[in-house]
Amino acid sequence: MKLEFLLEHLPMMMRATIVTIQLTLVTLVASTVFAIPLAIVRMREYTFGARMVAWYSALMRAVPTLVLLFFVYYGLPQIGVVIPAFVTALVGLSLSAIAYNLEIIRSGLMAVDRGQIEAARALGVPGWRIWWNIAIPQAVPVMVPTYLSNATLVLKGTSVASIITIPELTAVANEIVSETYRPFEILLGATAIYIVLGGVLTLAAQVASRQWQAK
Amino acid sequence: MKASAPLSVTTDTGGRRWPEPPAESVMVEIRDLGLSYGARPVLKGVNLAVPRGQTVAIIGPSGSGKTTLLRCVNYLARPTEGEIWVGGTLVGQRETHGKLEPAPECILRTHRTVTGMVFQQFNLFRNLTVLQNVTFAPIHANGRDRASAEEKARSLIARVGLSHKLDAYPSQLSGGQQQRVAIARALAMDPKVMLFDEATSALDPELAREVLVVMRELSEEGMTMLVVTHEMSFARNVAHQIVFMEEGRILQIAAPEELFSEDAHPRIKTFLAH
Ligand SMILES: Nc1ncnc2c1ncn2[C@@H]1O[C@H](COP(=O)(O)OP(=O)(O)O)[C@@H](O)[C@H]1O
Ligand SMILES: [Mg+2]
Repeated sequence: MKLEFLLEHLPMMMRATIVTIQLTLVTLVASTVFAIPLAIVRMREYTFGARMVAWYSALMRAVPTLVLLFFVYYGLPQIGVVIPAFVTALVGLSLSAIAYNLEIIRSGLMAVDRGQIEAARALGVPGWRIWWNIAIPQAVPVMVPTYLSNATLVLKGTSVASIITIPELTAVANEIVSETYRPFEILLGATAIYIVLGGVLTLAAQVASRQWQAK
Repeated sequence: MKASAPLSVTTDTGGRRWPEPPAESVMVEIRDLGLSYGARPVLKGVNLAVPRGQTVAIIGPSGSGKTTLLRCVNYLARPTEGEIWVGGTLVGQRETHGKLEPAPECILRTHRTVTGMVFQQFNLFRNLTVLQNVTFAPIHANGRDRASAEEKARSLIARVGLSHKLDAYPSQLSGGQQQRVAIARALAMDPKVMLFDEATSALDPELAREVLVVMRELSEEGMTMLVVTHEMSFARNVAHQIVFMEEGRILQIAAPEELFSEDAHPRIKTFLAH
């Protein structure tokens, strides 16, 4: 094993790591922004909207992310929509991330005590206020640990974007391997980077749950 | 007095049918109230008039519809039949083009701001401090400014004896303290009526007593109150009228001295004997 191969290509891998982090963060933010209203719709059982969201969620969680990504990558140009590769990856990854996040958010919201909501309604407080000031602040601590562990899956899932030429960590590592024929050193480096990034999320999950458990 | 409260009066002017508001002296009037969950009737024609400043205790076996009745007064539960009047306003309905129709949520909210409700499980907002619990609705439902809401909240919290707990969270309070905060929270909206749903049932006797003291003071100060309770001594000593409910109906409305006497309905006597 010769680590100099790794060191030599480390700057390239670091740039790729930044792409991976960007893709992870943007996917997380976008999927969360979409998941919140969908989770709320999904909570109103027996409505048409709720049923649609439930189907969406089941479907997107059943189909492999890679297949979703191909759908966006090949499908959108067919209907005349041409978007940059990064956005394609973002859309493909978000489709399933939205599904997972909406389930996580929904279960957090379902954990909020109905009695408090009823008390706020009895006081004449507007519905959105009840959500914003009472339900969400209490639901967040419940869902943060699951949310962050799902975020780790999103992080790992970004490697799928290597297939559509996004220069993220897996793609770049692969490229370096095919140039240097030193798969062991390079993949070890990539693995270490994934472990560090995942570790940060796991640590955040632990800190967050300890923080909120204390209260 | 038997359970034959006023029937709904409708006048016919110009082809319109319009319910007659109750007399000025009546704060809450419930007329022919019916509510079914699916095919299952839970309230079957309830009539009750509560004069201003009076306390009415509602007793009866569990499942008889007491909670549902209270929840109808502020339209947390929508009745399927009948009318609710609070302070001269027909709750949950509005007039459009001379016809009555169910009020939208925004109007329901204004109707709800005049009734305070206190729950068996306290239902304090667990993410807010005592002070924030009490100022929450005045600020966000009534649009009061924070400073005046806080000033009022402080005096209400002082009144229920919890000035030293302003910045505590509900989880740091005993059940009795939580329920007193819940009463202050309801009072902060200057309600015309207070609804208590088994406010002391989740408390052991000692803590229940500190809550009952507050409720009694409120009643003596002239608050109109509907109190669902198992505390017979409260019903007997504080209430002006006692309502006995069974199977979605009012079996008897009587003054305490009558209800706790030999003249009470036989069913009530067996209920009270337990
Ligand atoms: N949301 C609901 N859906 C269906 N049935 C209900 C609902 N709420 C109450 N009930 C039923 O209505 C009846 C009266 O309940 P409730 O008003 O809580 O009685 P009480 O407070 O006197 O014990 C009970 O049989 C209860 O099961
Ligand atoms: Mg009840």
